[in-house]
Parts: sequence; structure tokens; C-alpha cells
Amino acid sequence: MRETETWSWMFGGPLRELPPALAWAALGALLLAGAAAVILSYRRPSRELPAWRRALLAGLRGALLLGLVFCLADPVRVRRELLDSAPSRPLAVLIDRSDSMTMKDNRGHGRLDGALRAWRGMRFTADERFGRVDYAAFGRERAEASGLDDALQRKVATDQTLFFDSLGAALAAAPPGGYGGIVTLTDALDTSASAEEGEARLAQAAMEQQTPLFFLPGRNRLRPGSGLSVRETRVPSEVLRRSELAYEAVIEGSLPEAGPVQVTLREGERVLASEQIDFAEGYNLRSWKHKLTSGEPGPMLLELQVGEGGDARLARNAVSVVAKQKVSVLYYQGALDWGYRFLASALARDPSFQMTAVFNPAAGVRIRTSTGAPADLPTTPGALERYRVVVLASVFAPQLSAAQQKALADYARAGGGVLFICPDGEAAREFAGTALEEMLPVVFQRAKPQDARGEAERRFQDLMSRNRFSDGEMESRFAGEAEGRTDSAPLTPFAIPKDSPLSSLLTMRGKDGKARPIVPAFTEYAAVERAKPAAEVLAWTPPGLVPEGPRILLASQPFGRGRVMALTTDSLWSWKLSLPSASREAEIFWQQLLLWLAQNGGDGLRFVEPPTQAPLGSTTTLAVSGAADAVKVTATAPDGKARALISRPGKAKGAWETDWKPETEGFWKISAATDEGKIANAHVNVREDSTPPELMKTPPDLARMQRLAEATGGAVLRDEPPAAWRQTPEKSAQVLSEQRELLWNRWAILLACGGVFSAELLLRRKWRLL
Amino acid sequence: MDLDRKSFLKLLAAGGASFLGLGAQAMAATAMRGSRVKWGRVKFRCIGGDTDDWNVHPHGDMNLMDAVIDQTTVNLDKQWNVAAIDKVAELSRYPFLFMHAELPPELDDKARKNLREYLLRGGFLFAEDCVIGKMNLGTNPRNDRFFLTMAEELPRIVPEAKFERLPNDHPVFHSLYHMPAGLPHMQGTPHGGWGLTLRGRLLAFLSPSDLHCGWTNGDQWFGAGQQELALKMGANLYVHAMTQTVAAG
Repeated sequence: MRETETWSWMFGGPLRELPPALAWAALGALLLAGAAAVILSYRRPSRELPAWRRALLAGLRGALLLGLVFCLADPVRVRRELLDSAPSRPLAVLIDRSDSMTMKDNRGHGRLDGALRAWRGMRFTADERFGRVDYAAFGRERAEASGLDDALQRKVATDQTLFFDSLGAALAAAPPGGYGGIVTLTDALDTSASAEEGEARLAQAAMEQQTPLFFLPGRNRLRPGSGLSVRETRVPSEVLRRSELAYEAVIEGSLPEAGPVQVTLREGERVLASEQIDFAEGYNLRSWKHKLTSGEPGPMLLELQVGEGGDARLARNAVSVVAKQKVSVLYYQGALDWGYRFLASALARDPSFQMTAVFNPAAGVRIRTSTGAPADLPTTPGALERYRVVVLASVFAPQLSAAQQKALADYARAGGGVLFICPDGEAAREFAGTALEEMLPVVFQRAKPQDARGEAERRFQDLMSRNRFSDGEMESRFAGEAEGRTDSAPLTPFAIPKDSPLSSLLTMRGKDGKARPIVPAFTEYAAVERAKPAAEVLAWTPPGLVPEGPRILLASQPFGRGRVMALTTDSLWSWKLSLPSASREAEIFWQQLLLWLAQNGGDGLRFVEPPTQAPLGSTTTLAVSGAADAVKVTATAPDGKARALISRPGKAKGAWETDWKPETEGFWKISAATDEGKIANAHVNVREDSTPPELMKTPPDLARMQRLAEATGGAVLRDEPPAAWRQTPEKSAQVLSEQRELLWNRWAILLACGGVFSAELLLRRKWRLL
Repeated sequence: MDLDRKSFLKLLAAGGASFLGLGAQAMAATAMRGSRVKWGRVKFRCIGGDTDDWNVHPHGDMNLMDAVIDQTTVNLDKQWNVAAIDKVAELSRYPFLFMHAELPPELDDKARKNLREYLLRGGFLFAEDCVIGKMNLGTNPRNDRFFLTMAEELPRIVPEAKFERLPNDHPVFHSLYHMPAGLPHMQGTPHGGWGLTLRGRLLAFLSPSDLHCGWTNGDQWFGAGQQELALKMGANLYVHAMTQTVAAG
């Protein structure tokens, strides 16, 4: 809160009704007329006076006239108490220093030059508006800077652009209350993560903090390159025989004109899929998926070809098909629930599954769990890595420490599968603001409070408890009424969309040999407000059950390299109990669900975002995670010659890096192995004309900038700052109180006028004019 | 978790959990409960065509339900429900069923088949002798007719399971509270607690000791100490049924 003091004028008498301009004009005219009268009156006085005496008397009379006009104008001193608008949130400015921003065009200008020029024109407005501006530079990593010049000079790796991660990191590092805006000087190209989920996550994070995103596009005259590349492929490293798996690829390409692009997936000579994808003119980023079925145990080498002829690009993946797959599951029970025992029974029948159960210690129960089970949920991702899937059943945010939550998030990012079983939506909302909340693929609604014991029943209980002896008649009547009660929570089947990955997993052969679907059923569920943008809904309530429309029962979203799933019902034990004892439907459901969730996990050792292609003769850095000790990396050339690479510890625990410089074109196989026998492989296509994504002259993604700006209340800027920045905080301040003080009736002013009048009179008398 | 009697009874009187030590941590946030589950009492015929002995003292069940809710994070619905033994679909609504009477049950083939199916699906049955119930017959000085009949029936219903007296160190006596002396005894003949076990899972527990009367008006009939033991054992049974680890089958 602050005080300000200003002046105002209140015209009185006949001037009160006049507009201020007219009133001032009238006063001005009066002043002029009065001044003329004063001058004329002393021009030829009744006695001869020296000029200086006449001037003095005229001056005194003029001063009196001025005083009278001043009082007529009615000066007022105004004191106001203003409510300061909330202290202005600071602004963050991110400078994209990646290679794509600094690559020069034919005029020698990089994209960053133009964006900087525009920013320099508006930075002072920003300084005035926000008070504080935080700068950072980013490329492959983000580095905070002390100012604009520091951000332009600070050393950052520029061979990649982590656009989404860098903005996300800026939001995460915001001061309390968040940023009032983030301005990014960029071309919005992300050469690392999947665009769709990164964009959705970033928009959501910015909206939650009410931070608008502004963009200053980097532009120059660089002509877009043309060409295709496979940016990323995703396929499980190990699958069971005769099971379904998904092959996913992200294809990037710049085309001089719109047209179809051929995509072919092969296993050896056998074509598994062949289709054409429509590409628009210019830059395209497309995701492509295909479901395939594994064969008999053994290696399965998949090759994806994008394009045809000399422009074709290839990517390879090796999948190991096994007869049996060990899936280790960590089951953590937050609140006591019948689901544990039924799920444990469902998995116990298949020796592929090893379930380790941990009960929240606060539950106070003593149960026999497997040897080596942890006493509580681990606090490090390393301790979780031995499990392919972690199941969190009826877990509530206050039960887990920050370290446990972070460990889970890191575990999922590294490829682990996490299943949340959340039958209580109210408790699931407690996750808001935690690391776990980011993982959940859905946002829950507020739950209705549960019904307490009915009034009649409570009265019965109280009455019976007071009686020393029982009342058989009353008890029989009570039991009869209970018998007549209808079931308030009947079993209802899931509605599984035909294109859901579950629909093909949940089938079993009937006695007639025909495949029939397995349809789980539920009694109660926690209401979901919405699925998150990157989530896939796998099952709904059936149409017509909820008047407002179907509710989500099962949803999944990728999280880093892993996958997180949320089941909004209980563990479906009521469904299992309803099935005949000989039925295996519930077992198959849980086994298939957990197998699907475990796909991206492995024995822990994996390459982190391995490139699908690399340029000939250039050094490429490969990253491996999941190895506690040193990892041996071998690069095998297309001609079969193997060469050992030197690995060095990476930044995170269990992470290793190695530099590799291929000397021949073709497919190289990079293998990582540990002393414990863990192996990970990556196949990289080395080409002479292979251009790193940063240098592919991909045009700036203005559409992405526009979408993010619109979603968050920001804007794509050109040369002018946003209009809202030009509004100073004072103009928008709220007036709490105002005090007005009239000044014309002050005794000092009256005394001054009286003094001047008296002085003139005395002098006129002295000089014998009176 | 071990409570002294005073604290335990205070807990019951207040209907809250704030006096508990370890339990308070779990129950302090009473919103942190699992999925909702209902309580079921089995309706069955007793000898002589009696159809009214099965529903003796429903408020005893309610007192145990309150204790389970107060002492654990089980989300037990507070409603008393009936499951007819001749309808397997009704039995299968409840993962834990309580079967209780003074008179011996008269089970036909359908009832046996339904009970078998229910147990093999994963349900748990707690069957207990009421000793002196509505009929208040007292014709058998041992008052264990229900127990003896069910002791014959259970192995017949699931012949491949093992039916035996459970030792005092069996996990059912230690799942939530330590009961070093085994099954508490209210009245009747102290045969001990018997279990029907199949592949490591306890399918059913048979008691001759009328814990239910301890739940009902135990403080008046047997003393506050006995009531406390009866409720603790009831909670143990419920928690054990819910959490027992299953051997690979």
C-alpha cells in the first residue's frame, strides 16, 4: 500500500457548473482584464510619481488580483491511498543458442540476430514493466545467466535443442508465485523429445503457473533443406514369443512440395508393413505406429525404411523374443485393500511373474512377504530398477516422501512401468503439486463423501448395545429388512475401444477354439475430470451409465522412456470373485496388462535416446544408463570388425557416455555390456550425407509457437512489446481512500492578500495618492 | 501393534483413532483408505428347518466393523448385508463372509457346492459357534453343535484342502495384534481355532469360542478385557484374510 499526493482545482461560485477549460478561460480573461485595469490605473496617477513607485504600486495591486483569482480557482490538495497491484512477477528470457539459430544465411545472418534485434528494442519496456528480468541460454542444456550479454556468451552445448525441457526447466526454476511471462528467442525446433507430448506438457505447466509464453521467432533467409530422417524409434528390447508388440517411429522430413512418403518395415526379407504417409510442403514431423506379432524365440531384427531410392533412410532395431520372460513386479499397498490378495493370486499362477509386496509400514500389518522385500518403498531409482513394473495400490501422496516420489519419477523416465490403482479420487487429488502428479495420466474430480451407517441401522446398534439381553424379534425384523435391500453397486463391464491396445491383448480361446474378448467389470470408480493431453484412454464406463458421458477407467501415458497407467477402479477383485473358480480371465487380464506395461523396461541397461543415424567421420556421443559399474561398449562396423570404445561416467548415477567416430558408411551395431551379463544394443546408420537435425535448415516452427502462445495467454512477438507491458503499475493501481484539503481558506493565503492590500494602501497614503 | 486395554477401549468409545500409537499414523488421515468393501452375513438353514437362527445379534457384526474401520485403513462399508447360501452370486459379493448360529447348520448339496465355489473363487469364510444364541437351548452342555457340524462339513466341501487346528504361532493370530495365547475364548468348549487351508491360503476359519458375543455385548457379558480380545481377534481375522500371501499354485 502507498500514499500519493497530487493537486486538483475545484472551481466555485458561478464557475462551478462550467467545464474546467471554460472556467480557466474565464479566470484567465478576468486576470487579463484586471491586469489591464491595474496598469491603466497607475499609468496616470493623480500625482506625479516616479516610474518605480508606480510600478511598485501596480505590482502590489496585481499581486492582490492574482491572489483573488487563485482563490476563485479553489485549489485543493488531494491525498490518495493506493493499493499497489501485486508485486510484479519477474520476466524470464530464454535465448536459444543452438546451431539452428546461429547458422548463417547468404547474408551472414543467423536466426538469433533478428530475434535479438527485436528484443533489444523492447527490453527497456520489459525492465520497466517487470522490474526484474532473468536470463538464460539453452541448447542441449539450459544455463542461467546474469544478463543478456552473459546469456549470449555463456557456454552451452549447441548440437541439440531441448526446447521443451529448457522451457519446462525455466518454469520449474521460477521464483515463488511464478514468472509473469517467459520470452523465448527461438525457432521452436526440438531435436530431442517427442513433439506432441512435450508441447502438451509444457502448455499445461505454463497454464498451471499462469505464466504466458511469448516468442520472438528467429528468422533469416536460410532456405529449408530437403531430406528425410528417422528421428527416433521405439520398440521393446525383449518380448514373449507369439505376443503383440508395438513399433513406433518419429519421422522427420523437409520436402520441396507436398507428397506421399513411403514407409516400409521389414524383418529380413519379409515386409511387415508398407504404407504411404502424406507430407506437406516444407518441414514435417510425423509419428508412425505399427502392431506386429513376435514369432518363436530368437533375435528379431527390424528395419524401417523411409523414402525410396537414394533418398531413403534406414533405421534398425533388434528385439529379443524369449520363451519366458521374467517380469518382476513391486507391489506397494498404501491403504489396506482386498486387491492385493487377488492380484497376488492372479500372478502366482504364472512363474514368469515375481511379485514383491510392500505394505505401507503405517498400516501396521504383519504379513509374510518374499525374502529380500524392502521394508518400505525405495528412495532411489537404482533400487527400483530391478523391477519391471511398480504397482502403487491405494497410495496417497502424504504417505510417500519427496525422495520416494522422485525415485518413482526417475524410474519411470528411465523406462520403468508404473501402475496407479486409484479407487479414491479425493485422495488422488492430493497428488497435486507433487512429482507423482506429473506422472498420472488423468486429473481426478472431487469425490462425494461416503455414506455413513444409515440412521435406522445406527439406532438399532445403539439400542441393542444398551440391552443386556438380546431381542430376537427385533433382530429378525432387522435381518429381514437387510435381506430385502437391493445391490447398490452392481458389477458393470468395461467399455474397451476397438483400437485400444488392450483389445488385442485381452482375448482368450473358448472351448470351441474361437477367440473371445475378456471384459473386466467394476463396481465403483473414482471420477476423472479429464485425461492429460498425452494420455491414451484404454477403457471407459459403458455408454449410458453416467448421464454426463462415459468416464475414464483406465488410461496410460508415456513418461520419459517408460509408461504410467492409472486404473480408477479397485483392483477388480469383485470381478474376480464373480467369475467361476475355473475361469482364468482375471489372471489373463492382469498378466497381459502388466506385460504391456513392462515392455519398455528391461534389465536396466539401455542406450539413452540412441541416434538412428550419424554422420560419417564426425564424433557422436552415446549415452548408456543402468550400469552401476563401468560398462564395456563395442562398436561393430558393417564389415564385422569390432572396436572397443572408452566409456566415462555420465552426470547421473548409473549413467555412462562414450564418444564414437565411425569411419565407414552403413549400419553399425553398438553394444554395451556389464560384468553381470546385462547387454544393450543400438543400431546406427552412418551416412556421409547424414546431417544432424540441428543443421538440416528446418524452418522455424511458427505454428508451434502460436499454439503455445495461445494456450498460455502469450503471443508471438514481432517488433513491439505486448500492449499490456506498456501499462505501468501506477495506472492500474486501485484507490483505497482519498482526502481532499481546500487551500484557499488558509489563513496564510488570507494574510498574504491582506498584507499586499495593506501595503498598497499605506504606500498610496505615504505618496499622497489618497 | 500392541495396545493396552485402556487405550483400546478409549478408542472404541471415541470411535476415533487418535489415541493409537502406530495406528494413528495410518488412521490420522482417515481419507487414506482403499477401495470400498462390504460386510456379509451368511443366511442358511439350521437343523429342524430353522431359518431364523443365522441372524443372531447383527449389532455384534457392526461393532466389529467399527473396530476394523477404526483400527485399520480398510474401507469397510458400514452396512450390514445378507448373503443367502443358496445363491453363489450373493455370496460372491463379499470377500469376507461371517457364518454364525447356535444351532448346527443343515447344508444341502447346493449349499455345499456354492460354498465350495465361493471359497475357490477367493472368498474367505469365518464360521463360528454362537454357543448360546436365540434358541438359548443349552441342551448340549458343551454347546458346540454348530462347531462340530461345520468341522465335518468344511473338509467335505473342499476335500483337497487341509483342515486342522491352527497353532498359536499361525499368522492369523499375529496379523494385526499379537495373540500369543491363540484364539480368545468367550464361552463354549475351547476346541481352539481351526483352519481350512489350500495351497497355503486359509480359506476358512472355524471357531467354537463365540467371539461374536464378545463383539456384541462382551463388556457386559464377559468383561471389558474379553471384549477387547474378541474385537482384536476379529480384526486379526479380517486383516489376515485380506493380506495373506499366497504360495505359487
